[in-house]
Amino acid sequence: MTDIAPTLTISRPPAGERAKREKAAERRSTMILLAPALVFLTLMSIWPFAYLLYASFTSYQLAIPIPIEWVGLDNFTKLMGGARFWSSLGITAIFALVAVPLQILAGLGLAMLINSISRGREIYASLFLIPMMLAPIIVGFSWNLFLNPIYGPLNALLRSLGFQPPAWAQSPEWALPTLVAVDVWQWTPLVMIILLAGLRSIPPRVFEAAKVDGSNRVQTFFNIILPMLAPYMVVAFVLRFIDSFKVFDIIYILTRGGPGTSTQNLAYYTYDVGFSRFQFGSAGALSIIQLVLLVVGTTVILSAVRRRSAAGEGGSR
Amino acid sequence: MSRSVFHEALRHLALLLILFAVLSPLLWLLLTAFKPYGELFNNPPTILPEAATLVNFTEGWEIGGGKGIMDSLIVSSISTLICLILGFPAAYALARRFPPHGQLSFTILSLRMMPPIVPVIGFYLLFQELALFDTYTGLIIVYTFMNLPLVIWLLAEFMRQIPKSYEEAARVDGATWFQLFRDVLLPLSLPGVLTAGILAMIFAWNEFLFALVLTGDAVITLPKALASFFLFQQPNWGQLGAIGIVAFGPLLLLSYYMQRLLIRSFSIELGGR
Repeated sequence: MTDIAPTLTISRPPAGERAKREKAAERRSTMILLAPALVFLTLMSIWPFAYLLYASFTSYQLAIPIPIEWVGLDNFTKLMGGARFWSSLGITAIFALVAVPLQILAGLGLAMLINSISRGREIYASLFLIPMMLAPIIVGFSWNLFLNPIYGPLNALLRSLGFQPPAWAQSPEWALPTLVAVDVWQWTPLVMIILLAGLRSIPPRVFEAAKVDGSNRVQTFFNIILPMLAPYMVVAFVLRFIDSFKVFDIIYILTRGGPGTSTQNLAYYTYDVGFSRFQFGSAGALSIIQLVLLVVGTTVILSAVRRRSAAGEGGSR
Repeated sequence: MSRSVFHEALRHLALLLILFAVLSPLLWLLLTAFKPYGELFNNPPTILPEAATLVNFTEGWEIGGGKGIMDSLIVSSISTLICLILGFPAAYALARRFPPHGQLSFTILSLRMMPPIVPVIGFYLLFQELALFDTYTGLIIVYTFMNLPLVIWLLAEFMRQIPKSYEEAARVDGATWFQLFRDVLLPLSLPGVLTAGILAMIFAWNEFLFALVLTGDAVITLPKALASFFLFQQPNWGQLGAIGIVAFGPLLLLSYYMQRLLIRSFSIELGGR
């Protein structure tokens, strides 16, 4: 808006009145263009959210025909008093704070390796992208079959080598590490591609200058590559952190939250409470807790990043 | 010189080995699709199918794969079309009348970050009330809601690359809004429209949680059809694999295009400032 208005007034000096009218017309057309999408998005955010909010403060249970009562914060306090809430919170945290850093490490290694070859980079990048392009449901059942303790190929191979492999997704100790590994498998490609974009942004003369200065490989990595990739790694981390709250499909297919409740993250716990037990009051409260956690977590990370990058820029100048 | 050729070869070898390890669960599924039922539960398993068969493909189509593909096509293509129709004018307004990386773009995009488990309960209760549970319309509304923010944002990014002078020239020539759209904006932003459309289509095609919760026996999209096989203790992996290949294999052809798009977008977003 601001960049059009001055040219109008300058090119037609006497027409202050007309410029004003044109500006009003432009504002109107902007509204007309935006309205359909914004009305749809607003309606579809607020309307279901109103139901969610209402449910979370009542004793809403679909299967049981009891009158719905206003229970205030009961759903929230009951949840927070239960062990299952805290264990599912812990599992969500493991996906966010263990799986995501592993993805960054693996993605960095892969991106460096692909960037170091001179031919066929794009072909490797395309092939390594495959796990991320697939539906999570396919990822889930490929791994379910691959890791099957009886007729799966991985355990057959390990047994033939003389190991005694665990039952992976079905074993109490290995179920969670298995899910984390599958999540890392699926999302390392995204980190890889972001860091490849980062590596491509480093001009070759930077490396030449480093070589002239007698910097060895390790020094070049820590003093040049890593700092220049830092903004890309931050973006990868934030994107993956936000998405780590969404992990659901692979849990549903590989473990159903089990054995017991050992692999239920907040998303799966919410689904279980809402759609196996039809306790929409508690499920609604759980949803709202997740929303708050995600907003707070993202804000904290983003503000930390902004502060650090501001400090970094101040220091280098 | 020969040393660097040797190093290059070593790196290729390393990449190929990692690639094989990474893709092996998918390769296994591919092989399984051609194994007859009797061969699925062998211990130790056979690597290559001993009696290769295509029966899984025909059976898979009949037991739910066909219905799944039809329903997924209906829901994802219609929702993608609505996303583009609603998103195109909004993206134009956003690209031309608002600053890049402004508050409005951020608010729209932040809707995309919400984990689907949060709105799904609200949608479920709302759809029960509006009789939209287990309908194509209901799922189309949800997928449009899910993809519209990304479509608007992507289209706006593309439109910012189009010089304003084209539109100004068309306006000087007295073009109407519709002519401006048909003859100038649409052809120039076609790559953006295609990209946004393909992404919206893929996301709708792959989506599971909304389909699981918001539909019953009338609408059964592919991911939901596949998940329903897991109710059995020993699912017919051959049929699962066959449906998986037919329904999700074609998406992999887009992989080359996708890595180019992603590298370009992240380079522009982060490097261009």
